Amino acid sequence: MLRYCLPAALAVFLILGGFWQPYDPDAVDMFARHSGMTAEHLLGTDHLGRDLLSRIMAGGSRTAWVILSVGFIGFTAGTFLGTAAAILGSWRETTILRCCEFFIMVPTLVVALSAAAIFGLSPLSAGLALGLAGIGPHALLAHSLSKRVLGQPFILATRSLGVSSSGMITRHLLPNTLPLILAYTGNQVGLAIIAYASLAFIGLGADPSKPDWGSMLFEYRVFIFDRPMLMVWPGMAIAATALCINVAFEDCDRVL
Amino acid sequence: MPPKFMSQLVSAWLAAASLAAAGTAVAAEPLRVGATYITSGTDPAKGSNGWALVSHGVGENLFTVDKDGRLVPELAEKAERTGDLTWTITLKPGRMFSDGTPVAAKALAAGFENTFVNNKAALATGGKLTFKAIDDLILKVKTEKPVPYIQALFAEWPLIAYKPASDGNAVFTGPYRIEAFKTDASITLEPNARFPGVDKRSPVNFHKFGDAQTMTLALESGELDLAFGLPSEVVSRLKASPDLTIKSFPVGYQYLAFLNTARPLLGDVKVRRALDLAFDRRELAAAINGGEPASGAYAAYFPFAGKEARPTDLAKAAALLDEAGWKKGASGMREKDGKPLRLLAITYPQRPDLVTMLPVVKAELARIGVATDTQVVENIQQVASAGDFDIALWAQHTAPSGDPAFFLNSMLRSGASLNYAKYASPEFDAILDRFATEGDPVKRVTIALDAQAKLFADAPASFLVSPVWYVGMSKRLRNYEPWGSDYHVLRADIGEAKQAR
Repeated sequence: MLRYCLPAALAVFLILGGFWQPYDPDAVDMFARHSGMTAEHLLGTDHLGRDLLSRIMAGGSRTAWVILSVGFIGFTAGTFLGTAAAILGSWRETTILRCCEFFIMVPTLVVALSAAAIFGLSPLSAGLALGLAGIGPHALLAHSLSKRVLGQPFILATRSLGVSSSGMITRHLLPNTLPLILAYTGNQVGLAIIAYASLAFIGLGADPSKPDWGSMLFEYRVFIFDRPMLMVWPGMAIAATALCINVAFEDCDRVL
Repeated sequence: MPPKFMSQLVSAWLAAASLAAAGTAVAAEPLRVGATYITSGTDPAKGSNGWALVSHGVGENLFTVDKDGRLVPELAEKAERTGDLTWTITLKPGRMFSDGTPVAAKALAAGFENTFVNNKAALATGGKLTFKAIDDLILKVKTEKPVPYIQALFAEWPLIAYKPASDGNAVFTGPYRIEAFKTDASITLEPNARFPGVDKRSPVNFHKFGDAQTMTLALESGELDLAFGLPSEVVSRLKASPDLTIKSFPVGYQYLAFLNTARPLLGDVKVRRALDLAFDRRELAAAINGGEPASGAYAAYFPFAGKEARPTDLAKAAALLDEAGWKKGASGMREKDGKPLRLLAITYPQRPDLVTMLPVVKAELARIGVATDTQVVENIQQVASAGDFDIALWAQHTAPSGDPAFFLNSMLRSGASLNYAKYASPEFDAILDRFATEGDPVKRVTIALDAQAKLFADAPASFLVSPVWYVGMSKRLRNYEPWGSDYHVLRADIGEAKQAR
């Protein structure tokens, strides 16, 4: 039960953070600096008196956009290209695979850093960059899985029975490949959360007042000895989110 | 000779030799100094290298400001006016360049001429100066514009004194000479043997830290003898360490916000004045754990500083924005013709206090319904020169020569090379013109106050905080006394404690 409750709670937390926080996450209150955990400020306040829970929630909604972007782009484009390559075969298969290998050659973080430097760091730019960089690995995995399934006797049987290509793909191919691809997507999204936090920590092209979890780690690093909880909360948010996403997707095979 | 006496003699000799060797080792071991800035090169005519090289103890000026804020001779002995535009400078005898050649008027003239050709900031006060060496110690100077007090002009940071060398480098006169330089990383300094007291100075390894927190950790772990410009947030913790000495000192720097008058939203003086009234300077000073609300363009200890802290009045600020047509929308933020009042505020990481102030500025502007995007840029001068900002948080020593004119002429006069606010006001320029002919210090104070009043009215810059800075020292440099902001970090009197280890 816990396996489903935790990801569900996380999803609610991330979605809620996009619409509501207890306080304005940017509001400064110099009389409430470093308040510690109180009934008013459940996670305390930072060196400028900003409510930490509000900032974590606002940062969570930005991270959620990255999760959705990376997952959607990598999963849809990767699955489509990999499956298409396996079905089309011949020179078209080779062309698609070479293009996907090009995506793998370029390090993901370098792509994301370049995008952040040019367009500025936002959940959208980071999500796009990390998602596009994830298409290659997704496509190669989808291709490999599809080739294996296409070689199975039951696929030959469906073809012999005259099942259309679209029917074969939707009823026989994808149901056998999607569970593993989804589990892989969960894994990649977990890595993307870490990558986005790293980009925000570096701060290249970022708006430092925007409460990203990575930028909070950077901003609060000066308090690591005096007020360690300032770093613990965003650190825990990053770790918990990456963990929950992995847990949520790891059993796709069994569930589907 | 009895064997016992012989053995005592040998022991005493060995002990003396060991102590002598230990003393030599201490003196030869470099001091390790950290800061968040470093000269961008060794060309003294380029950018702000003149300031940085003096700060590193490599160069000197003809005149300088001492620890009590007085304008005093340094390489020069005196300056005398001989006409409206002409002066005679007499150099101190016996001073030497680090290459062993005497400081002669002809060599200095060549250096200054090179600076005036290559550094526009040098032109701010007297225009282009021309030089003629009469003999080794007499230098005739002719200014383009009248200058009432040329001693202050020669204390300005671009006018470092040096001798151009044949290989394209320069030779200086300060207590240290450059042994090695790595761009944006470190500079290795050796005591200049031609500067008095060479045996009292150790070599220095000066390291630039991109991040003040990293510098703090280096100081705590014993990797630095002097960390200049510690983040205020760590001071209370560092003061608890028995191995460290932490000192604070008021500086001549002002933390200010340039408001880019060339941008469409800030072209309206009512909007700029509204922003100026929205800044809560007490809150900003509290955010950086030190300093006082700014009273104007200058730190409070200068006679030409404003007398009262700049006001905060949110109601008046809101009224000004209403008058300018920026009304609050349903979201509480201001807009005009459907367009939001959204500004870009930038600053730079080399001054950590400014980075701390940035979100506070954003929060303060939000209180009057102004939305702000914020950005921290590495090369602030490049971005500011390009004009890609609405608000630029800036740290500036506004009276480095002890005189108010240089800052106003170089950073706010119409068309000035460092006028990042793109402020152009004939009335303001006319006030500055009075500096050129007025030599009476009391009357120059009046001119400075008039100029500040005009700036308050036009608000091309908003003066925010007069800060204090923090330095941390190991036991070896516990006697170091910071003064002169960051214009004299490494000096001949660095205060090194010679102790056996």
